[in-house]
Amino acid sequence: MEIDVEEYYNRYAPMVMRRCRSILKDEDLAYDAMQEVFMKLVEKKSRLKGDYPSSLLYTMATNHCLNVLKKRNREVNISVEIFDNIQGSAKENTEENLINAEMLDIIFKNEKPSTRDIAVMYYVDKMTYEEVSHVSGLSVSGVRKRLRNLQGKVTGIKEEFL
Amino acid sequence: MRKIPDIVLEQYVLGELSSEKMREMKSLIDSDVSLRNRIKLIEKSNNNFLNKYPFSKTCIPSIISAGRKKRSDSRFRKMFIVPSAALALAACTLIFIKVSPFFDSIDNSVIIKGNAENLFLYRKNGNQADMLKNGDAAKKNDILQIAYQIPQERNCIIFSIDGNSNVTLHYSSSKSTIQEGGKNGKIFVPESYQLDDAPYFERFFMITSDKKIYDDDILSRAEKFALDRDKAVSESFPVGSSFSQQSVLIVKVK
Repeated sequence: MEIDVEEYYNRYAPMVMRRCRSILKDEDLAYDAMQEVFMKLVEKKSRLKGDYPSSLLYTMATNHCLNVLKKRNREVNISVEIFDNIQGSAKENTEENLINAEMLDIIFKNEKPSTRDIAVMYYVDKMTYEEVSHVSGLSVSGVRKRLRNLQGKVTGIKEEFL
Repeated sequence: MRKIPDIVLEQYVLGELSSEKMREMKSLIDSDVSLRNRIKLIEKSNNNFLNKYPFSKTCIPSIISAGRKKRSDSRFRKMFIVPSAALALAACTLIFIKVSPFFDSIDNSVIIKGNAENLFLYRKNGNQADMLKNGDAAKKNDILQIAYQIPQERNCIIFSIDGNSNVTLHYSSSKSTIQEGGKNGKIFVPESYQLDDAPYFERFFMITSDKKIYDDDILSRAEKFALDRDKAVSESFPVGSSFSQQSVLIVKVK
């Protein structure tokens, strides 16, 4: 379906910008990221589904911003937040946080990028399975399965390393 | 009560929830002042955003128009993309060889005033240096010297993309000692370069900003940008409006 990019921008860019800002915590980086998301939209516009564009753009923004953080080695905070929530216990010191961030690299190494996005939505954004399903486009059971597998991985890694 | 995630409120404002979820949310919002305040903040933020960052001020319209131009004008494809391109790509190797600078042979008589930003390319020609302009031809083993002019306190990164989709960093103000400009404000990067056998073109970019430039981020964008040679030859480099850019395209000939 061919889309009007300007119309999409006016309707969805504020949401994309807020999402980028919430992850990157930097106005300039967020602005660049928001533009990147729309550039990707321009590239993909002939292949877009029109049902819930906000879901797609929100996921694209999340994915892009996590990649930006990863490239800048600043993923520690958000990683730790995921890890702590998967484990169910908050970590207190930086050294432990860094270990957790490294653990996350191991956990997500062979996972699809969308699994990381789902983990952020569920563990950081505190979305329900249904809400993650609505935004990610996966079925509720698919989301549940991915998160269950992730939890299993974390348990295995904890037993091996911690 | 659990905090309603931002995306759910965003989709409520956009009307992109299922009808059942919309009803559920409406009921929650009607009974919860904090949710109503969050909705108001989203609506206010929407207005502020579009005033501050209107579509016309982003680089997206230029990307769209470049895409349209690309569809209607395939001259670069005709010029550069030949059936044997894949073989050529596989056969080509190195990008540049660093060689000694040749500042002394460059004529510095061109004086540039004001806050202009300029990227200059020179080719060593015996004991002289010829300035290369956008679209000029060069060949394998030509020795090039890059120079630039930017206002004081401005940051810059200079890199090039070649016909093999390789990206080469030539200079970064974040990694190099900032040098004094000459009387005309022109600064030469510390090393000259010898062109390798990459085909079709070499396009040099200078990206500048008042803010710190993250080299890795720019180079990562460049690598992505370089994958599409039509874009790499003809389009602006995709960076935000807080950056400025200059480029010089060199056409490679045998």
